Amino acid sequence: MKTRSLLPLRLCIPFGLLAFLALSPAQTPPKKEEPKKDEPKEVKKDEKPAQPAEPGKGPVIPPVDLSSPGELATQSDIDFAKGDWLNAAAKYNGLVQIGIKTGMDAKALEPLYFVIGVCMYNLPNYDEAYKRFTEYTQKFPTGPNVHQVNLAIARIFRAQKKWPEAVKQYKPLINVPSVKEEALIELADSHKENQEKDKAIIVLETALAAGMKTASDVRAALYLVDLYQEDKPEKGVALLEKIKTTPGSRAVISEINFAALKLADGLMQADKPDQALAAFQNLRKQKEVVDTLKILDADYTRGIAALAPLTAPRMPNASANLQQMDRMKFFQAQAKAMIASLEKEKNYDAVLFYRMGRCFAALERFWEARLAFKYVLDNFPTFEDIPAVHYALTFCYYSLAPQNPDEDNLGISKEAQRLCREYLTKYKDKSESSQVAEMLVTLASRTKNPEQINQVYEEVMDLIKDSPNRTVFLAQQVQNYLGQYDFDKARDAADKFLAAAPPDDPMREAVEYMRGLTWFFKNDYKGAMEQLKGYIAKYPAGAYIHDAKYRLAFLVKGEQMAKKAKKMEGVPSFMLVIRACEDIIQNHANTDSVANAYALIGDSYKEMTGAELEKEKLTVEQVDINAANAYVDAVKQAKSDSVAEYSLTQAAPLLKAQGRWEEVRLIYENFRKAWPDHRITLTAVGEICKAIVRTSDSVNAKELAEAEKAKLTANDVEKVKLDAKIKELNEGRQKAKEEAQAKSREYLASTIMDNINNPQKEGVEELMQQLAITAIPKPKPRPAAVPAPAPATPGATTVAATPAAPPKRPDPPSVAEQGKAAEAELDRLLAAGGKLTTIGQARLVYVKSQLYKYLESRAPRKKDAKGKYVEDTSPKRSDELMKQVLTEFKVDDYSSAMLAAIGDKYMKDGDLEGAANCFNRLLLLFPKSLFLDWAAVGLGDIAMAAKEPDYATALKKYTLATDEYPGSKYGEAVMGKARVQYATDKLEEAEKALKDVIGDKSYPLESKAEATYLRAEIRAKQKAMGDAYMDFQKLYLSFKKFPNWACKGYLRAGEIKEALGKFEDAKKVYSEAINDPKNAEKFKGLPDFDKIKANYQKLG
Amino acid sequence: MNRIALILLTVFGFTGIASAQRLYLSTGGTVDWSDVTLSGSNILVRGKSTPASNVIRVDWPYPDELNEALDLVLKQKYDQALTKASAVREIHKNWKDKPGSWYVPSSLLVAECYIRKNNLAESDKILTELRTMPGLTSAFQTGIGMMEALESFQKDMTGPAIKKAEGLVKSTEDSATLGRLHLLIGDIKFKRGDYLEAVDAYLQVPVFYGSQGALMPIAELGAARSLMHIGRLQDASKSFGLIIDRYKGTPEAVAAQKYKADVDKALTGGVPVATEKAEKPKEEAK
Repeated sequence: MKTRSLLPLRLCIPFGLLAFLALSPAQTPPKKEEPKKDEPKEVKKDEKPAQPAEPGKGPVIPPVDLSSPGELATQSDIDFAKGDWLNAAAKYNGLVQIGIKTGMDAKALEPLYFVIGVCMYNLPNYDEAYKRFTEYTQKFPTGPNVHQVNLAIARIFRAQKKWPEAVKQYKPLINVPSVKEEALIELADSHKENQEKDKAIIVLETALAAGMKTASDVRAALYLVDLYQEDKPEKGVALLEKIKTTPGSRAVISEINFAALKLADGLMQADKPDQALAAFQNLRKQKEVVDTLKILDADYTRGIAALAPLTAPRMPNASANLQQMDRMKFFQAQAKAMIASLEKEKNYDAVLFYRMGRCFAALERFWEARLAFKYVLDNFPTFEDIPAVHYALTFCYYSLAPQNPDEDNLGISKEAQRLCREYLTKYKDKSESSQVAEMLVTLASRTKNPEQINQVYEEVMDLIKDSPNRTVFLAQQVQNYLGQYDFDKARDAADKFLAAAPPDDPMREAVEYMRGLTWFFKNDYKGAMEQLKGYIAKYPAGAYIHDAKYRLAFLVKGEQMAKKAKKMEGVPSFMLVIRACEDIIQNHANTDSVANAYALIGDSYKEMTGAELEKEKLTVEQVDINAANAYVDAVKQAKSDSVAEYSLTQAAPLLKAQGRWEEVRLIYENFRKAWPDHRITLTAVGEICKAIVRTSDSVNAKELAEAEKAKLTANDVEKVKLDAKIKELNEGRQKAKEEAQAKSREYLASTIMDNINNPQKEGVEELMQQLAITAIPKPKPRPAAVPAPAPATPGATTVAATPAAPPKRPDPPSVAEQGKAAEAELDRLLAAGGKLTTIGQARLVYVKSQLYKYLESRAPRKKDAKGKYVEDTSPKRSDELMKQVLTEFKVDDYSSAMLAAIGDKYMKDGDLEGAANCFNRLLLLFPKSLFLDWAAVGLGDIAMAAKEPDYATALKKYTLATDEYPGSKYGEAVMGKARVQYATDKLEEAEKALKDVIGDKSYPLESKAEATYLRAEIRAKQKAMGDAYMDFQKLYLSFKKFPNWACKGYLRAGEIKEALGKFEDAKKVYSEAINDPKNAEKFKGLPDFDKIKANYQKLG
Repeated sequence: MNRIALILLTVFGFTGIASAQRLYLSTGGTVDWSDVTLSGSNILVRGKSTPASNVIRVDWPYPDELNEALDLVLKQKYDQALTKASAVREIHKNWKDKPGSWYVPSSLLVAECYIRKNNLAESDKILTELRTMPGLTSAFQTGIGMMEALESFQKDMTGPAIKKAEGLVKSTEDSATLGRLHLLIGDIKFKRGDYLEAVDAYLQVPVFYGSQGALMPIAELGAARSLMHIGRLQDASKSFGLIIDRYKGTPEAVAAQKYKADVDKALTGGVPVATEKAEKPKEEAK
């Protein structure tokens, strides 16, 4: 061993081991450096070479010849420098003997006592070293090397596994600057070995409390991280976070990777992925670690070279420099070993990032996990876990794919499918292949595209030919074909299954049943009967028995229908169907066939013939009631929305006709609760409100009918009494109606309250509008006619009797009167509970504004003295409320519908910034809104409105509106695109779009005017002057209603004529614009009109 | 005998700790930085003046001021960052091209501060000098390239900026550089409206360069904002929540709080968002 210092002992402590292990999770520590073979120890001819030492029990110091002290001194240094510890010790010992004999000052001998101990320690002969070092401390308790000696004694205890003694010996040394770096970790390690882990932790925590600055602090901290591993991993994670920011951490980059990975793995096993992630996030890639170690290696080489001359015996600080140089050499050797090992590792990063990806996936952070897995998959094709990585990446994409493929604007589902296919191609034998196939099928099924789904099934069947799950997929395929009404393929798939599946396959019954259904769906009555009966006979307790019975009943009904239509012989009996259905209801409760059976009962009652009614002793009314009851039960029991909707639409008219309004309300309410997101939910709310009001129909109905009947036979006196009674009954009825209306409003309000604070819910404003309108008080009825004056008394001057003047209709309530009452009602119903958030409040104010707009539009227009309509310029409550919406609420209080409408308002008011705020928010935060086209078109218009129009952005936004979010703004988007195309000289594309606008009747006339104008300009640009002229002319002939466009038409038509050199024609065009008084009146003040006049003047 | 004893004394008799900041002179000697005063282009050691050009190498641990300056840059406190980085640059300019000098890293930080402050005249001066310095390591050349990309980005020239920045990714393995580079790429992509690519760029930091603690909240916030822009509002809300929890007290956590409130308000009117789980196959991902 050539090492001169005590430092190599560090190799023995776990930290050193930890450092080596840090190379890679799968690597073994490098072997200790062996002495080079070509450097044999030099043996003096007069000396016995030192014997190989047993650890701690080396040979004793041999005597030497003391006759030549000078020679002895020189030779001892040479032996020491060579690491010939035994001979060096013998010679130094000789020098001590000479010193004692010659009465040399004890102080002068101090270094010799120390160096003898060092030699014996390095040999190693721990007993002798201990003896020598102890002697040193007794002789030189304050000697210059006493701390090194004490450290050496502590290390001897450690080497001899005397842990309590080692602890005691190390303790004072951690406060000695020259040795504390080594002493600290070794003390902690001794505590640990002495089963005092807590004390080890305290020692290190105390030492690091002041913070970490140097590499040795980081080494101590990493040791502490290791101690935390079992009981306090979270502390380990926190410490690693601190290590990250310590400048000295660069020197231990590889050890950090190892410590972080070990800690993270432990945390993952303990199911603490969040903490594991923090630990993982200390990892660095292999190349960076190697590069850093190489830089460190170069630094060490430079440092050693710089220090070497400073360690010469007579140099100041030689001892310290030597110690530092030894440290450097040790760390350099460590770095080199790590580089060598790391460079052998081909999949180092794959191990790290596969684990990290799994950690992200465990936290459901699939965006991040995806990157980690993809990195491994792309860069480490030979990594042994690559199939698992592929699976994990596929799962990430699968998890990130939206449930609704229409929302997958990023193509994630497509990528997930690609990965599934690749996995199934490469790794079909892996156990995960059936899960991957399942993912692929699920992803394809979401598209609801039969071709795509079929294709995927075919692929899967092929890819997982030998999978144990194949029959499951075959069965699914049968079902899929049935769902697509492809009955032949379904039957083929079923046959394939039945041929391939073992007799006890759990899917066999299902497939046999589905196969049987193909006859049913192909309307093969006979075959279907045979198959269904066959199934019932084979599987009397089968899982599909209820469905088979229902289908049989359905077939029976078909038979009766045929008989009824005389297409088949026999007397129809729908009661047969009803009885079969009743059997299902009775014996197969809680199955989805129950609702079907009820609906079929309803259908059967409706089909009953007069003869059957008579036979069954049923009246028409009773049959209607029975049918209605059956449908109502079907709605209640329905397990699918299609059955519920069918039964509802059948039940409602019957119930209404029977005046069973309360039940109408109940079935709609049942439906709404069961299928809250169904497309007819809003209709249901309307029906419920109507039903609530109509429940008042029955109030006093019977009494009124009786009174009216009695009036027919009553005398005058009785008639007066009956009239009074009827009046009273009508008043009672009116009161009940008003109460029902209030109740209906309350119901509507409660429905609104469910969603009013959720800005994503669309349709709320419409319901609120509906509520607002029902809250407008009804106009007062016209008062009863004033009776005609009584006939003149006899003898009095006869005055011609004049007919009674018609009662004057009371003035209609003003906008303010109506609005105030409606507002109060809205406030009572929606705001009084104090449950409105700022979103709800904004909605309320907005709807009130809309309410007033509606009332203001219906208010009678005022006329002046001449009977001409006068423009009403008085301040409007609708504007006031809209202002309130804009000033008292923030953009983030607006719902999607409000953002669209308010953005549009800002646009019209010229506040482009306000508009952009609304539209951007709508696009950003309401990606599923039905109003996205408003935002896209608005932002396109804003881009076009800039001083220097941003055509690229505008086109992008308009295209978004036409292609991604087609809606009510589609036409505007098309026009926007055409404007951009025109401005950017994409004339053919623009012309094509304009042609569609001009030819489509659904576009507003003004849009057509603009389209005509743009087309004319395009033609002018294309030098098709004749066509251009025709279009400009069309503007003033066909779009007179729009002075702007008509005037523009005159101007440009004239200019075209001028361009063609037809100045007289041009003058005629201008003249028509100027001299026609109607035109002159309409065009007054328009800039184009001024240009026309100027052009006209110019032409003389 | 005395001679022997003396020799041994010199070898074993002294212990001391070498200075952390040391200058190596061409004359063969070394000086501790604590003994040095700078005077123009000379260094004064205990009253004795030597040209600073005599320094052939320095042993100088990574200056805390550069760490602080970087931290300030990330917090967008460019004036303070400039002061810190300039102080280091001023010292190391005396041995700017010598091994161990921190001149180039400090200059890059100073240049970044100027670019961020839109003082492109000053940043150009620095970058011009750096470009002509001989023997620059590839890491430093990457740093210069990053500054050029940043300059283009500041001028709204996102096309050249992204081309430059993406071209640098393979030039280094250093986490600190790559972390910042991916952050810059994320910013550029975000500005260009390429939000999915921005997500991927920002997420490089937490996935591959998590050792760069200071960059993490910024990168995660960028990714969450990008998710918001691609309409993945629930994912964005979850990401903002993670930032709020993990980086408490940082400006990013404060910003995330605002964004999350905004997203949640838009999603549900403020009710906490329930995360939808994907239908999972029978077994969890390995």
